[in-house]
Formats: sequence, structure tokens, C-alpha cells
Amino acid sequence: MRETLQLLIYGVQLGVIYALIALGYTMVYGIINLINFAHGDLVMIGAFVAYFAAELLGANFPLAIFLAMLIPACLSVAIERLAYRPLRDKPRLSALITAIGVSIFLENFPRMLPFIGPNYRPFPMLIPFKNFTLPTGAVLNSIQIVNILVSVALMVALTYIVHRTKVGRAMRAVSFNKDAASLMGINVNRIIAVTFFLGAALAGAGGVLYSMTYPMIDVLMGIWLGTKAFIAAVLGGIGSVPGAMLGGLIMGICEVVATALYSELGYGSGFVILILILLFRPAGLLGKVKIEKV
Amino acid sequence: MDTLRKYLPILGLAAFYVLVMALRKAGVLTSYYVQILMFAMINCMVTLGLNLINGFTGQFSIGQAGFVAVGGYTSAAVTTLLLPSSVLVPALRPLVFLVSVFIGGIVAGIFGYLIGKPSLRLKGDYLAIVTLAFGEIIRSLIRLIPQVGGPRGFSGIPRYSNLLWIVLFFGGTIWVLRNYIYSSFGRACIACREDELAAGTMGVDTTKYKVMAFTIGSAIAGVAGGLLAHLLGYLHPDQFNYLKSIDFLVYLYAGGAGSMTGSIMGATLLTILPEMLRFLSGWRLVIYGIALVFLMLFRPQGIYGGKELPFLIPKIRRPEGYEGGQ
Amino acid sequence: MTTPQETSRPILDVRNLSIAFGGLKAVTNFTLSLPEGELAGLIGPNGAGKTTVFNMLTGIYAPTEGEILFRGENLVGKPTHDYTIRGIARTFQNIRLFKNLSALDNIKIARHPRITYGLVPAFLRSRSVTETERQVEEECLVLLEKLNLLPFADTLATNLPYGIQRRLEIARALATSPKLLLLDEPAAGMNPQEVDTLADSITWIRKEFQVTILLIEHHMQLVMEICNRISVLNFGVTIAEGQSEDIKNDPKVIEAYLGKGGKVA
Repeated sequence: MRETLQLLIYGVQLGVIYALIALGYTMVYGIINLINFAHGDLVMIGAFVAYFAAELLGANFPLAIFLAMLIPACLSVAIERLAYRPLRDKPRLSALITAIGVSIFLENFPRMLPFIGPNYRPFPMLIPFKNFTLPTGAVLNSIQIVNILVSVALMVALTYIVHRTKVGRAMRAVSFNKDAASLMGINVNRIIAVTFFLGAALAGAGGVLYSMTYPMIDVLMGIWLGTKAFIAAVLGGIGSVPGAMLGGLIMGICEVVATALYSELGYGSGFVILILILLFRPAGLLGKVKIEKV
Repeated sequence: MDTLRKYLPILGLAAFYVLVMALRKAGVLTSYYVQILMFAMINCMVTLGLNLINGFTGQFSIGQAGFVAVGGYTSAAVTTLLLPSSVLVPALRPLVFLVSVFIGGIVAGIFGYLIGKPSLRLKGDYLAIVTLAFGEIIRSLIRLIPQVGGPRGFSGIPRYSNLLWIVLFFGGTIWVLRNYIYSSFGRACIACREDELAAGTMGVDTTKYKVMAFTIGSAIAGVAGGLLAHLLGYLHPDQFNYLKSIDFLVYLYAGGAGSMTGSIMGATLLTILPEMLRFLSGWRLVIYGIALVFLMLFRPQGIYGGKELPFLIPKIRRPEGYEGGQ
Repeated sequence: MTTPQETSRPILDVRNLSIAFGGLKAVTNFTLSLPEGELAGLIGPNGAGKTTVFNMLTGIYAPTEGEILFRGENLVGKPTHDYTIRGIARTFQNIRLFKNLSALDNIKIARHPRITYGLVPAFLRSRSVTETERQVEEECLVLLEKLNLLPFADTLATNLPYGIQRRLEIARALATSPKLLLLDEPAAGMNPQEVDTLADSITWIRKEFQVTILLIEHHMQLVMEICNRISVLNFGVTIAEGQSEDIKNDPKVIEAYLGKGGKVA
């Protein structure tokens, strides 16, 4: 029982990070039907921004995470403007290939920079480490608490933006029908840019939280993190914001449990769960099946 | 004249083989270059198979490396574990190799069928996700099988592949695919791509043809995997991770989806180019990434999208009075 | 051609067909009986459920209730392509040609179910495949010629003028060798002159290809001119059925179209 709870804590801690990253995939897919392959690399950039902010500027946790959200977000808007927007009316997969190109660039350009390079770097302690023993005997540490609190706060903020603000309403309108939204006076380009901005900000935050938990960072860390978060987004129902959150949690918990059972299983387990869920709910747990109009 | 036209591609392929061998003998091409050429042809085969699924049938598979792995490991298991070269008289070895490559293709095809059948009923990107997941699951499974080396990799595979075999399989793949695409089956696949609903009302069993294209494409990847295994002599599960699948996807769309010529050009060019840029060390991938973005921005349809070299289109004689302006 | 009176059994007998999307009843108890060789019209205001009826008659939507008896066989529950193979072909309200293919290839795809060579001969392109392909090419060219489309044989469908696209879609439907042809607003977007030509074409097609035709149309004059029998749908319910003269003067129909006190055509 104590061990189960302990695993659950680890699972939730990892799951909320997957959820944060998954949100970016799901929002971009929801709005322009693009699987943004470069999204995982923004997670890595977020981690490196926080690393340099702490090492060079001596930034504390709030400042580090703020910069780690802001810089990938601006970068993501620039990428959308330069590499995706010109292809919006072209075959859908052209944009996918540019996304792959951007991703290859984002992984390899920092590798060649002398002050980043290909090696692993230890991530600094942004908050003091402290263990708390719960009455049941399970142990909860300060990083886990911060992870969960920050993630939940960001997800609540996002939900508020999507459902309670004018921009959020415009985002939902654009994802429903771009042409109609445009006729209603919504600046579609701007809303898409906002979507990329928000998604990348969450990815950056996810990168910092992940690096605090597993304090070794390198330029390729975004690939697998991104893939798992993407799977989480699909599992929850791609295009659905609550779906991404749920999917992230499920992925995190399953991965931790499977790894605890047998370490070789950890990686493949998420994919098996994904396929099982898609067999029974093809649109993901919270996704909606679209009816084709003839 | 017609007979000449018919056999021109075969002559061309034979001439290509003779030329490469002659240059190799003359010392112009080192074995390293010949090896790259062989990789290029294997990549072409996988890309052509993927093109049938994505380019011609309009589906979206992104886990092709998984099928290459299935084909490679299966055929390597046949030649290394089941009938190792030590128990065979030399004359039998090519036969065993040939059979093993076909078995690899068939097993990959069976996997393709089993995956395609449930996921192709659905519209959208489900196939993409399921194939991506499949590729990663296969990799995890291979790690769990000690007989094929598990996480250490599968070594000691006899190096049966050579330029001749690869040229033959490469040519055969092109020929068979061309015939398929310009048959009633191929047209049914293209109809699924163009408008699935309208295809159904034209009497095309859309699920059947999507599954068929997916199975054939996977089987071709499996055959290519068999050739690759016996070229390298060594396989490792990490060779087939999803980044490898992404490579094939890039070859396909950079070359031009829906064009066999495009696949051949894309795969060849993008296999050879990074090798030629080796002197740039790490910068070559930076350049590769940027080049990909620019290629798509300026040629979204790919290098050769929507076009086909004439010898890849079978000629049909029209009755008199209907010749029209073809 | 057999006259309608001679056939004892209708070619199409639709009984109590209903469909609901969620809670919305789009079509309720649609019933229709078409004798062989009939040319019938299905009319009604926008959103009355006409296209939904067509979608059910071609297996695209599964009706929640009812039977579709085509030549005596209930087709409900079968996949779309089975409807086509058994002889029901259709066109679409918003043209759905295979846009990036030539007119000829569009027609060839419609011949698909009639081509019988196997997969292995196709892979190897055996002599019989080449021969069949040559025959298919000829049949399709002949069909294009019949419908005055031969000059466009090698043009991509997307590059054809609108009127030609409409005609090509009818040609493609005919290429499936149908017994029953469903035309969804064939006159949409046409000018009066084109509509006149279309009226002649439809009656000619019915005779030439020996098909029964059911058409959805908003162009009232066209329907009244060529259809021997008309059904009127409003809010998913059949409100009138009969000869064109009776329909024209049916107060319920007039009310559905124009509100109270109006007059049709």
C-alpha cells in the first residue's frame, strides 16, 4: 500500500509534466491539424533557458521558469510565421515536413554552439530539496510538490484562457471553422500565433519541471519527452484540452508502474496502452468523432 | 521500336550495374561509395512502399522502420539461426538468402495486415499514431528476445547481400509497383486518396484497398529489411527507432508523394547528400534541417511531385479515332 | 424499353425509412416505390432531408429504421460499395469528382467492380491484364464520346469547366452500369440554357442506358417538365406524392415552399 502510493506520487509528478507538454500538441493540432514535430524541442530549449538563467544570471525559480516559458513561446511564434504559415493552404503534409526540418535544426544547431554542445549537463537546484513523510509512510519531496502545484496552476490558467476570455473564444472558433471565424472578424493569423505562443510556454515550463526532477539535460532530451507527450495527447483525444491533461496523467502513472514491474517494459508500455484505448475509443478518451458532411 | 521501349528500363538497370562494377574494378569507386549506393537503393525500396500507402492511397503511416525491423530480424533469424551458412553447401546459400528475404517480406506484410485491418477503418491520423506506436513496441519486443541478441543487437548475420541482389530487388520493386499502380487495384487505391466517399459510391471497397496498399507497402519494407540485415551483418533495435521512420517520411515528401520517380529521387539524393557533407561534421544536420524547410517552402509538392518519368507509366494503345492529344 | 405497367415488381421499394442524428429526426417514415424505367423527382425546401435520403439509398448513412428493397433485396446494413455493385449509382450536390485525375481515369475507376483480373496477374502485368486494360480504355472512351466528353478525356477533372464537371459526374455514375441513377441537384449553378440541355440529356440517358432515375432538384420547371412522378419532402416527412400536375396544385406543397397563399411554378 505504501509502495503503491509512492509509485502514484512519482506517476502523478511525471504525468503532470507530460500533460503540460501534451497541451501544446493538442492545441496546435486542434487549430491547424498539424502534428508539430518541433514541439518537443521547445521543451529542451525551455530547460536550457532556465539552466543559463540560473547559472549565468543567478535567477531564482520564478524568474527562471518565466524566462523558460517566454523565450520558447516567442521562438515558436517565429517558427510558425516562417515555416508553417506560408504552407497553410498547401498539402497538409508539407508543413509536417517543415516541422521535421525545424526539429532537426533545433536539435543540431545548439549542439554545434560552443557554449551548449552535445554533452549532458547537470541541471542546477532551483529550489531547496526537502523530504516530507506522509502519515501513510510514503515520502513526498519539495520538487514533487512544486511540480504538481505549478503544473496544476498553469493548466487552470490555460483552461481559464480557453473558456473564459475573448482570445480563448476566438481560438475555439478558429479550430471549429477558420473561414467562418474569419468572416466574423477574427484575425485568424493572430489567433494561431497565440495558440503557438501558449503551447510553447507550457512546453518550456514542462522542460524546467522535468529537468528539476531528472537533473541532467542535453539537446536531444526533447525527442522522447515530446513523443511521449504526443502519445498522451492522442490517448486523451487530440484536440481536446482536458483530454491532454488526462492522457498525460495516465501516461505518467503507467510508465512509472510498468518500469517498477520490469525496467525494459517502461518505454513500450505507453504505446500498448495507446493502442488498446484507440481500439475501443478511436477518437481517444475525451475526443469527439467528427461526422462527415456529404 | 515498341519492344525496345519495353526492355529499355531493364537494359538501363543492367547498364547501371555493369558501370558501377567497372568503376569499382577500375578503382574510381571505393567500396564505401558502392555501399552508399546500396543503402540508397534499399532506402528507395522502403520509400516506394511508403509511397504506395501515403502517396497513392492517401493514408498516413509514419512507422515504416518498424516493418523494416520485422523483415530484417525475420530474414536474419532464418539465415543465422535456422539454416546457418555453416550447415549449407555454398551453392545453396543464395537460395536460402532469397527465401529468407521473401519470408521477411511476408512476415512484415502479415504484421501490416494485422495492424492495418483495425486502424484503417477509421479516418484521420489514427494510422499514423498506431504505426508510430507499433514501431516502438516492436523495438521493445525485440529487446526482450535473447535469441536475436535482445538489447545487445543481433550479430553474426551472414553478409549475403551484394550489389547484384540489391539491384535486382530494387528493379523488381519498381516494376511490380508500377504494374500495381496502373492496374484496376492501383486505381482503386488512388480513388481512396482522392475522395474516399466518392470511391465507395463507385463500387470501390475502400477499407479493402487501404489495407491492401498498407500490407504491400509493409511487405516491401520487410524485403528491404532483409537486404539490409545481410548487407550490414548486424542489427540493433535502436537502428529502427522512430527517427528512422521519420527519415523515410522525409525522403517521400521531399521527393514528391504520389510519384515513384519522386521517391527514387528523394531517397537517393537524401541518402547520398549527407554522406557528401560529412566533412562538415555536425553542421551537416543543421544544414539538412534548414534545407528541408526551404525545399518545402519553395516546392511544397516535393522535387518531382505529381509527375512521373514516362517509362514508369505503362502504355495503352487507344482504338482508332480516340487517340486524342495524350 | 419496357413500359412501367409491364413490370410487376418495383425496382426500388423503400419502406418507412427513418434516420435520427442524436435527437434530431432528419427523415421520418420515408416511403417510395419506383417502377423500372421511371423518372421520378424528389423535391422539397432546403434542409428537408432530400440528400439524407440519397445518403441512405447509397449506404453512406445507416437508417435507424426501415427497409431499402432494391430488386427485391434489402440493402440496409450493407457497405456503400455493395449498393453500387448491385446497381445504384449517384452524383453529388457539390461535385465530388477525383479532382487530380483525368476525366478518363475518373470513368475508369467507376468500371472497377466490373474488372475481374487477379492481384498476381496485376503485379506481373500479364497479357490478359494488358488486354483487359485496353478494353477498359476503349469502353470508357466510348462512354465519354456518347456524352460529348471525348475532347476532355485527358484533362484533369479540376481544370474542367463547371458544367462539364457536372456532366462528367453523371458519366462516371453511368460507368458503374447502374440500374438506378440518383442525381443530386444536377441543374445547380446552371443557366437557363444549360438547364434546357440538361432536361434533354436526362430523358435521353434514361432511354439510352435503360436506367430508372430519381432526381433531387430545386429547379421546379425542370422537375415538372421531365418527371412522371414527384415526391415532396418537408422537415423529413413526405407531404405529397403523385403526378406533377397534382403536386403543382397541392396546397400543402404550396404552403411548404411559399408559406400560406403562394403559388408554385
